[in-house]
Amino acid sequence: MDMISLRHIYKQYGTHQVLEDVNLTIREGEIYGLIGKNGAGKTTIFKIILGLTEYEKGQLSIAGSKTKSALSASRKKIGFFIGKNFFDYLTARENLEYYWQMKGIQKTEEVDRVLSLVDLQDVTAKFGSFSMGMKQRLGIANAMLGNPEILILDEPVNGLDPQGIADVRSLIVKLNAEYGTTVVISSHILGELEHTATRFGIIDHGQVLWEITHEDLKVRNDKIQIRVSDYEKAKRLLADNGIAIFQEGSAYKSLEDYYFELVGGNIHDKLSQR
Amino acid sequence: MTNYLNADLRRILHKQSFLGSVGAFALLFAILVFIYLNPSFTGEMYVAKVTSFLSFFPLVIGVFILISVYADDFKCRSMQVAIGYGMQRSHIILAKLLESAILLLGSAVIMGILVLCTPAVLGLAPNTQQLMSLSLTVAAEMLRALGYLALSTIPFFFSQDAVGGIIAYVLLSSKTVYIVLSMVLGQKFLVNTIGDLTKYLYTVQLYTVKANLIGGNPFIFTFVAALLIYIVLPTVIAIIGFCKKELEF
Repeated sequence: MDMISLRHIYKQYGTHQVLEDVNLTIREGEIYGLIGKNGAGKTTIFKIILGLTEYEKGQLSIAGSKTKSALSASRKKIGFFIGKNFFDYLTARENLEYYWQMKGIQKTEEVDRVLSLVDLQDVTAKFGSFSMGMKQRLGIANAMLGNPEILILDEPVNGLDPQGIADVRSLIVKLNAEYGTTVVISSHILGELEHTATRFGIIDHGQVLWEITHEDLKVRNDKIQIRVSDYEKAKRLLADNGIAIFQEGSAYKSLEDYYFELVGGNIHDKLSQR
Repeated sequence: MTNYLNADLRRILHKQSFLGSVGAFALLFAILVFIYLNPSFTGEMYVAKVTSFLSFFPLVIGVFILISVYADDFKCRSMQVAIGYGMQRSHIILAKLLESAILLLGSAVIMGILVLCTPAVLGLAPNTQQLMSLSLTVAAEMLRALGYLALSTIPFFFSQDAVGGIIAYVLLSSKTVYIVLSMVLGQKFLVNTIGDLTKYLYTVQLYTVKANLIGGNPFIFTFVAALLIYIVLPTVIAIIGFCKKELEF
């Protein structure tokens, strides 16, 4: 079943075409990684899904719903992390209780559950005094309130330390595996996304340029890279067994390589531009 | 909508600065009474002083309600989260107006109890008409604040920025707009040409109704029209403006 579907979506800001004939389908139970540089149209896609902006042409569908009122009802199935939408004068618990009440979730233990998932259950400080990482974790906890069927995460690992990144990654994978949660995730850290997502979409200048599954990405990499204790001996062994060595060095083509092949430039140029 | 309303009210009641503002206003009232209290202080003098003090109710209490209900929300963009949860934009605006009305009513009840009980404590023994005047003053100031809040939602929701709305509210609640409009509309050539429009100003409407009720005159039905124009109409305009707005994360 298609959980989210965008068909021939066009969106324009003044004379600037932000999305041009976007076709995107997020299937039930998958982790979809949306990749694109700033201004590529990722956030606009999220805003359209969440009903925060109108679009000129096309059809949006969430869990089969297409009409305006049905879409509003279907959005109740979505949990999302789009920023740090919290009040400085409230604690982590009070902030989550606010959204918990707004969502109309019945189970009172739900706030405790999501707080412990991100290890904030014992924090009593006000949100205003939180570190970047704590704010990020609280945002992710909020997205998970009520075990939503669909999870939209916009740059969820920004500002997190390596341990935090690993924790978020395992949390997403766990939610997907245990509850079958459909996840749409955008990130600049392509290597990280490569570890998490089951399918990827590359977007640039408002167009989805390419989609590939994690499996296909692996199949395309039919060359292997191995580390050996004795390089000379390994070479001899290969030669003795009639295996030719065409190239020495890294053979793995990562998601990042594909990305820059499609949108142009190289990572060093891109990084120096930032 | 009820969930949103309850969540927002609960959030605001956790905000110390809002509760502090009501406390500070009550404290100011106590200081005022202490300053004016002398052996020749009568019930009539008390009513006059309290009436003038309560005219600051929309400015002092209203600003804190405005910041808590609207500005805080715009700052942390929790409205966007509510829309993302599937809530209709018009329901958000209506819920916010209701919240403002509930918080104003709560604050007005506290101030009402305070101003009505103080004369008994001071042994002033005001008559029924004076007590009625005090009650109606509290009600009129509360409605004045609600009307200004409703008018301020237009710049709030059109600009999605707190600054414009707060400036508009301060200008309205400090009576700056009222004074300027009274001066402009009271010009002789305007009165002669299109008639006296100052009587249609919201503040004038409220104070006229209050004076009529104190005087035992029947309820003026144009007052209902004034409420519709100054509270319902701005809300409808805000809904129209907000429904198609692009919302930022």
